Amino acid sequence: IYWSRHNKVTTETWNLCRYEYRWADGVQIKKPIEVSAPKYVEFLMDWIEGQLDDESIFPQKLGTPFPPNFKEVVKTIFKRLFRVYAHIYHSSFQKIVSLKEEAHLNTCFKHFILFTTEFGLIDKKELAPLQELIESIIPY
Amino acid sequence: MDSARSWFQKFQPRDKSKSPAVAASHGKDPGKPPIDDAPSSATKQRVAAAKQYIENHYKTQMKSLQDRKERRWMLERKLQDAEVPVEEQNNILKHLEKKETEYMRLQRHKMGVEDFELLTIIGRGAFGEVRLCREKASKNVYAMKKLKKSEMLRRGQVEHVKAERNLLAEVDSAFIVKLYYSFQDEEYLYLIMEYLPGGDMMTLLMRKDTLTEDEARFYIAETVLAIESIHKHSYIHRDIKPDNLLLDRSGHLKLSDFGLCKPLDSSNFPNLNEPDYTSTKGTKPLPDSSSRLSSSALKRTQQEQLSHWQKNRRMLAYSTVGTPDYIAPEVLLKKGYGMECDWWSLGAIMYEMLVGYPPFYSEDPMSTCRKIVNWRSHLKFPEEAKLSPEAKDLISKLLCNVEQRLGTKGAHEIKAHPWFRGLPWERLYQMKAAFIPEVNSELDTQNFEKFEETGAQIQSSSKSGPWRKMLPSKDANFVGYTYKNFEIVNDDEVAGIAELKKKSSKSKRPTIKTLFESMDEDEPVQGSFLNMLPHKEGQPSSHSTIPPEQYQPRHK
Repeated sequence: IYWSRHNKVTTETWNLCRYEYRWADGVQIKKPIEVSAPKYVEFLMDWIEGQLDDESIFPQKLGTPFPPNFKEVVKTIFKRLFRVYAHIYHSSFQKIVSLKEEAHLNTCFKHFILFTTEFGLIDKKELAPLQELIESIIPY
Repeated sequence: MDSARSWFQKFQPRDKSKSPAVAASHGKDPGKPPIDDAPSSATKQRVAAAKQYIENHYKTQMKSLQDRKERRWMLERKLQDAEVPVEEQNNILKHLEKKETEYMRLQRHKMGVEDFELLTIIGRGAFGEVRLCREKASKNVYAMKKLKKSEMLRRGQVEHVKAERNLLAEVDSAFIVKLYYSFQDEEYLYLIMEYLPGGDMMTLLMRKDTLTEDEARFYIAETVLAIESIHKHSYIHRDIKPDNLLLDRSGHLKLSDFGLCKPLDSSNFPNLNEPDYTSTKGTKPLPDSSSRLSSSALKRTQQEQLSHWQKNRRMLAYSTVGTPDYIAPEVLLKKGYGMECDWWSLGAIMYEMLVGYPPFYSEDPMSTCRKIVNWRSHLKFPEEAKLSPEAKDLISKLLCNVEQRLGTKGAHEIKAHPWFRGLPWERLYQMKAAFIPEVNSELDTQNFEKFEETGAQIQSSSKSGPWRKMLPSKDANFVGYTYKNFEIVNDDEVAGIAELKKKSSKSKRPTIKTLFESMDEDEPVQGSFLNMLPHKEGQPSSHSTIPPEQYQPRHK
C-alpha cells in the first residue's frame, strides 16, 4: 500500500487535512517520488545514518569544528524524523497498542518533542499533523 | 502519559462506524490481510528487540548523566581538600567540562576491530581468545578479548557475558582490570581491556610450585580487597580462580575473567556421562569406587600430587568443562548461593599457594566435584606442607559451611583473622609486591603462554554498510553491549590537578590526551556545538558538599 493511498484512507476517515509526504534526498533521487511508508522510512534512516557518518558534518576527531550549516542539516533531519512519528500515530497507533509498545513510543516522542522545542529544530507549521498531541506535552 | 492513548480513542468510534467504507475501498485488493491480523513471530521478535533497545537507551543515558555529575562532584571535593585557589579551581573545572564535551563526541565514534592493530595471542579458550592489541589512533596498548556470539548463544552464556561487561563498566576500582571499550560486530563481541603484562596467578604458581606464607599472605590479601570491591557493587564473581587473578607490571593483583572457560554446568552433577565431559581430551572417567580412589590418593606424596596437578592444570583451564577446583559446594549443588561463595574460592586458592595443588584435586573433574560437595571428609592438610596453625585455621574457616564461613558478614571478618596480623591493608598496593614480574617492553608477553595463530586472520569490516542493519534483531541478546570508558579522554586519575602539574612535560608519545592538549583553550572552537546551546548562567560558584542524587531505575 502506498503511503499516499494509505494516508488518504485514514485522513478521510479521521476528517483531517490531507498530509502526503514524498521522498527525495537530493542526491540519488532528485525529484520527489511516491513511495510506500516502509520504503520511505528505510530511505530516511539510510540517509540519516549517512549524515551522521559524514565527518564533515558530524566530526568525530578531537578538535575538528562543526560546519557552518550544521544547524540547517540537523533541522532537516528532525523535520523528516517527525514525519515518521506522524505516520505512526496517524496510521499505526492501534497496532502499536496491540503490541504493547505505546509506552515506548510515547517516551521517545515526548523526548523528541522536548528536545526539538528546546533548540528550535522544527518549524511550528511542520508540527501541525500532531498538533493536539504535542499540546498535551507542551501546554501553551 | 495517557494523553496519547486518549487522543487516539477520540477517533475510535468514527473509525468503527466507517468500517464498511474502508472495507469497500479495499474491494480491489481482497488478498490483503486485515490490519487486525495477529502479528507474525518475526514482528514480535522485532518488537521485543525495539523495546529492549529503547529501555536500554534511556537507562544508559541516565547513567551517563549520573556519572558526569559524580565526576564533577569528586573533582570539586578533591580541589577543596587540596585547598586549591579559587581561580585555579575554576580553570580546572572548565577543563573538566571541555573533557566531558570531547567524551560525548568520542561516544559517537563507531568503534570496530579495524581501529586496532592485532598483536600476540595471550589467551585462548572455548569461546574465544585474548590478544594484545594497539589502538591505531592513540597508540595505546590493550588486551582485546574476543567472544564468538554463536558460541555464547549455543552454550547459554549470554547472561554471563553481559554480567562481565556490566561489572567491568560499573566497578571502577584499582583491584579490577579496567575496561576501556566494548563493541560488537555480526560475529563477535569485543572487550578492550587494560593489558596486565605480569601474567596471571596460575602461571606464577606453576612456576613457583608453592609460596611461602609471607608471599601467599600478600596475594591473598590483595585478592580479599578485589573480592570486597565487587561485592560492594552487589556482584558475585562465582568463578574466582588463579587464572582470573592477573598481575600488573609491578606485580600487584587485579581481578579479571581471562579464563575463557565455561563455568562448570553443575546441573550435570553427578552424572558421569556428561557429553562435554567425555569429549574432554586426556581425562577419562574412573570406575565409581571412591574408596579405591581415596586410597590411591592417600598413597601419593604431596610432591607427586603437585606434579600431577601441574600436568593437568593448563589442559583443564582451556577445556569446555573448566576447572571446578575453586567452586563452592553450594554453587555446584545449585541450592542458591550468595556472595560468600567467592570466599570459599579464596580459601581454595590459599590452600593451593601453600600446598601446591587445590584442596580437592582428583583425577577427573567429576571426582573433584564430589569431593567438594563432601568437603568434610576430604579437606586434609598434608604434613609435608608444614602450614602454620593460623594458616590452617583460616583455610578451614573459608572452606566450610556457609553459616560458619568467614566473610559471610563482610570482608572485615577475614581481615581480622590472626594470619593477617600486622598487615597494612591501606598500603598494600603501594608496597613492593612479593614477586616483581620481568617485563621488558610494553609489548612484552613473556609472562603468558605461547599460542599459535589459527589459520587465516580474516578481518571482517564492522563499519561497512548501515550500522543498524549489521545487527539482526536476534541480537537483542547483546543490546547495550557498547561501552566507552571516560578515561579514554583522560589518562590521569585526578584530571585537573595532574594536568597542571604536568604542563611542562612535552616528550610524551602522542595519545588522545596529547591531541586534546593541543587545542587552543582561549579561542572558542569554530562551529562548536556549545555555541548553539541557549545562553545560560555561568558555572555555579558554590561547591557541592552533597553527592549527586543517585538515579534509581524503576523495576517492574
